[in-house]
Amino acid sequence: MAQEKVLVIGAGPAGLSAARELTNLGVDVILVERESYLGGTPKKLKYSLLFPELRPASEVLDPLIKSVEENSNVKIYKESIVEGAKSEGNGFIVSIKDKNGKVTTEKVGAIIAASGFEHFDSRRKYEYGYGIIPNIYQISDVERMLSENKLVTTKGTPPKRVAILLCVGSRDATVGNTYCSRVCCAVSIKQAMEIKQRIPDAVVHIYYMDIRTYGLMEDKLYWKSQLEYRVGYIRGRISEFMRGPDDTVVIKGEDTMNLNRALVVPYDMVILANGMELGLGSKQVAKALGLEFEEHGFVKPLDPDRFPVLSTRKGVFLAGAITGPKTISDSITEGTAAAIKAYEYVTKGVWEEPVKVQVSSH
Amino acid sequence: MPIPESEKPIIKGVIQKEKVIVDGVEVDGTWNAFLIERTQTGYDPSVWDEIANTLEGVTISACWQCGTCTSGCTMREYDDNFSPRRFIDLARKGDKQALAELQDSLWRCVSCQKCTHRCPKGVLVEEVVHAIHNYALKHGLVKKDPGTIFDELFLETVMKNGGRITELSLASAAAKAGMVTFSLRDLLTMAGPILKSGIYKDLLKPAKIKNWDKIKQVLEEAMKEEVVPE
Ligand code: SF4
Ligand code: SF4
Ligand code: SF4
Repeated sequence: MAQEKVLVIGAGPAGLSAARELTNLGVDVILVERESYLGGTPKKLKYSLLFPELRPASEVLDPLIKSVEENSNVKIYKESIVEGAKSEGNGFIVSIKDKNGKVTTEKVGAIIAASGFEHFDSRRKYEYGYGIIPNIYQISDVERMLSENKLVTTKGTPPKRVAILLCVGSRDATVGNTYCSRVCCAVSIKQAMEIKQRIPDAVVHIYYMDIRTYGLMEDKLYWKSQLEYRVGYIRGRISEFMRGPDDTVVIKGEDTMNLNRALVVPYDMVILANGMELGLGSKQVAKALGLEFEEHGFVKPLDPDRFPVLSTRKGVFLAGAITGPKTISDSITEGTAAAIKAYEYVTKGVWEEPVKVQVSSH
Repeated sequence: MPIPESEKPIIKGVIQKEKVIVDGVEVDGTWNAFLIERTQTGYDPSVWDEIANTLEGVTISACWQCGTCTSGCTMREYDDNFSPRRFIDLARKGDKQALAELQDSLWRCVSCQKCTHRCPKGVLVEEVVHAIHNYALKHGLVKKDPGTIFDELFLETVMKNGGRITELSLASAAAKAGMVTFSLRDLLTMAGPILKSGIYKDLLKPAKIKNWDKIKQVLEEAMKEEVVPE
């Protein structure tokens, strides 16, 4: 039997995890990454601490990057994209294009698409003034400001009053995103605690509709932020921001817990908890591979419950945020799952079709 | 146009004048109504800090606003504005104006402790409610309420009567403060049994408790101290 090869698209947490797993199983990997470095969005945006353990992102990602980068069984194409995948037998002939337009073809037995998500661009919510009013940032900007220790306002001083608005670009029919992005509550609360660690006398208010620190994060993030850091929670979605005097940002909102007065409150800095979308990168991947989309615009798995890492095209597997908003640890888990499924496929030809089962109604 | 029900609380400060003249022109009808500015323009974060630094208020930070305390609260049934959940929320936000507006409710907790037993976050709600009220009193957000006035009378009477309280001494102190009134008939009804049983001597001048002089000193000392959690 010839040496089996699997193409992994995307070198974020899911893709790296899949690549590492496949080489552990003795399968060669071809890894294609759009950027000039490995690590995906967490590296690109220089994530600071990861929730819920508040450990540095590099502590989780760097060993993964190293194990893949130093593995001679992984062939890495950086600054490249996959242009197309022609079926040949059970496998594929894929064409990979680099930034100079040079196209290389590779023969692989299976494909794992792990090209991830992109953060919502808050400029699409014009009433929030992102990109127009100074001192309004997104959680995806603040990660870098925190990791580079440059969390300052336009005046160059640390903010003393910070407002964080949740669900920006998520749970919002006006931008067409009717889903919850799952991680932004946790990221925002984590950022609130990081801000309080660095600027203990800062006032940090989180404006929310629900707090979704689901599972084991509830007490580690939500409870802790109130008990240990006195992060304030104000229920109500801010409707607009205005430029205040002295580069402050004035919020207009409603405190839905106390319907007695309108809110017009100034802050030094506002942070928008922008959500997750499929993004152009993964859209291109889906198109090149001939995959289908589900109703929220993410890539559709063969069966979201029974085969979450199988795509609708035979031999193509999915991992990470390409199928919907996901945490880093979930993406790593899915990378492992997709690797196992791809291994079964290239070594034994296993491809489970969803069978329609007649279920008696109750 | 009638004001929508849901917006009434926001504009409860409406001024309506009989006659208004603006720039020499008399305005009437709906045009002579003015709204008092009730916009929240800033929160005072020192309120949360100060309350959380008292012995009674230390658990205020744990609250997550579920409303368990308020839904079972004894006082809530009698006073729609009595909401421990809301008091905690306003105090932590530092909305002093809203707290001040609740002055007729803030003091009315009867210390039944249902809230404290039921709170899923371990907030000692009854204590926190008192800590919030104490804050409001200390900073002059609310006027002295009947509960506090009675507490002070009670303590004063104990201190004046050698560590003991009697019905008569307390009732007369309360009557003096205008909190209760007795009719002649009440007094006559009480006088009979009191005189007959001979306890009037004790009622008028109760015996001091043992070692009162020493205990009094300790009490006076304790009342001066402010207790702060570690
Ligand atoms: S995780 Fe939180 S902030 Fe993000 S969309 Fe869901 S509810 Fe909104
Ligand atoms: S029951 Fe406890 S946590 Fe819930 S609102 Fe009351 S004090 Fe807060
Ligand atoms: S102790 Fe006070 S606040 Fe708590 S349930 Fe009883 S009356 Fe309500």
